[in-house]
Amino acid sequence: MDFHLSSAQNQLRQDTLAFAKSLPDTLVDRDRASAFDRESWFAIAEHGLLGGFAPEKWGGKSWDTLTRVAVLEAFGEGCRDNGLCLGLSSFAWTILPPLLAAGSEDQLQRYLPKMLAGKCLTADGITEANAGSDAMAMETTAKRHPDGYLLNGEKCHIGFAPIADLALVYAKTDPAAGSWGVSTFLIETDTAGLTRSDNTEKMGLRTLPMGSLTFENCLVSADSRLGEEGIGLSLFNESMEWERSFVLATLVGAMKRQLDECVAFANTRQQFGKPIGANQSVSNRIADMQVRLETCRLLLYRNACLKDHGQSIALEASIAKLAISEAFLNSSLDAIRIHGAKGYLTEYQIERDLRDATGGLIYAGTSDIQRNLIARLSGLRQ
Amino acid sequence: MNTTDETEKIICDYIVEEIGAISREDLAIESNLFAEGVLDSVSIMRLITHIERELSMKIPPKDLIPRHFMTIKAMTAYLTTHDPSGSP
Repeated sequence: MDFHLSSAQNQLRQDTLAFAKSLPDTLVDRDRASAFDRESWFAIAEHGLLGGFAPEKWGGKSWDTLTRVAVLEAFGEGCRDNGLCLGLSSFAWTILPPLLAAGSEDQLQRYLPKMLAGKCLTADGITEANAGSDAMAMETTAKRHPDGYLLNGEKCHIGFAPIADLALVYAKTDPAAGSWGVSTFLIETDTAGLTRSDNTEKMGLRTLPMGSLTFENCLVSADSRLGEEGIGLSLFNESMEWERSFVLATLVGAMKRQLDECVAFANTRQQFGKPIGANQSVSNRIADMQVRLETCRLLLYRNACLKDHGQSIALEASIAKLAISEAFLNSSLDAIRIHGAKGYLTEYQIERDLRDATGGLIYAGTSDIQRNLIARLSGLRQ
Repeated sequence: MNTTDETEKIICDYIVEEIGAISREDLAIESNLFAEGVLDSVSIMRLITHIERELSMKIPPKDLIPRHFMTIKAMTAYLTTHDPSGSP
C-alpha cells in the first residue's frame, strides 16, 4: 500500500494549509456567540475546495480519496475552527456520497453546482430523539400522496439545520418493513410544512449550528425522492462508511498543529531554571501525542487507499472513527496540561479543542457503538 | 459469472456458518431475512462485503434495495444477472 503523496498532491496540501491559515481568526468571539463563519464558507467554495469532492462532470475536480483526505488534513492543521472543519467534512462525506450514489441527473443538476459554489448548505437529516444510535428505528414517515409524499416527524441534533437551504432526509415509506422501509428525500428548507429550529447551544463545535427539522404534513413531490423507495438503509451504510472513515481527517491535521504548538511551548517555557520539556511528565505527553498523530494518520491513509481500490471498509471505518476521535480528545487534554493555566484560558484557544473533541466521541456513531460494530464485524455473534 | 446454485450456496453458507443466526434447515430462500431476524443492519453489511469478495464484484449502493436483497431468492436473481462492474 503506497501512501506516498505525489508532488502534485503535496503542492495541493501546501496550498490548502496556506489558504486555511489565511482565513480570518475571529474564532474566540464566534465560539462564544455560536456563530457560523459564512464568509469563510464562501472563501472555501471560491478556493475550489468543495469542488475537489465532486466529479468533473458537475464542475468538480474528481480528486481521489487519498487526495481528499490529504487536503482535509492540511485544512484542519491550518484552520482552528473545528466547527467549520466539521461542516466541510459533513458536506464531503455525508451529503455528497448519497447524492452521487443515488441522485438523478435532474437532482444533481439542480443542487450540485449550487453546493459547490457554497450557496446551498445541506443538512443530513437522520437522527431523531428516539433514534440515535439505533438510527433505523426512526419514526419520521413519508406517506405516499397523489402529489408525492407527505412527511411527518422530527429530526434533531442536525448539523447546519438552523441555516440549511436543503435537507437530505431519511424517512420511512414502509414502516412495516423495518430497516428496509427507509427512503431518502432532498427537501428545500423553505418547503411548506418544514420548520427549522433555532441553534441549539452545545459544549463544543459551537461554530457549526445545530438544531431540529420538524415536518408537519410536509408535502414533497415524488421527484424529491433520492433513489428508489427502500434505499435508505443502503445510503445510510454507504454514508456511514465514508463518514466514519474520513470525517475526522481535519482532526488529524489539528493534532499536528497541537503537537507543534506544544513542542514550541515546552521548549521555551521555563520553570525551575529549565524548559518544562526537560521534565519527563511533559516529554512523555509529547511522545504520546506524536504516537497518536502517526497512528491516526496511518489509519486514515490506509482507509483512503482501500477506498480508492474500490473496497468496502465498514470494519476499517469504525476502527478509524474510534481511534481518531479518542486520540484527539486525549491530545487536546494533553495540550491543556502542557500549557498549564494558558491551556485553561479562552484567549489562548487551547481549551476549545477539548470541548470540540468531546463531540467527536458522539457524532457518526458513539465510541460505544464503534466498539460494538468492530466486535460484530470481526465475527463476534450476538 | 457463477450459476444460480453456486451463488445461492455462497449466500446460504455465509448466513449459516458466519452470521450464525439460523440453521440450514430453517433457512428459506423466500423468507424476508430482516423480518425473520436472520439479518440486521450490521450483518447485511458483512454479507454484502463477503459477496463482493467472493464474486469479485462491487454492488452499487443504489442497487442495495428491498426488491434485490430482502430474500435469498431476490439476491441470487440480482447477482446472477448483474456483471461485476455493477452494470445490469
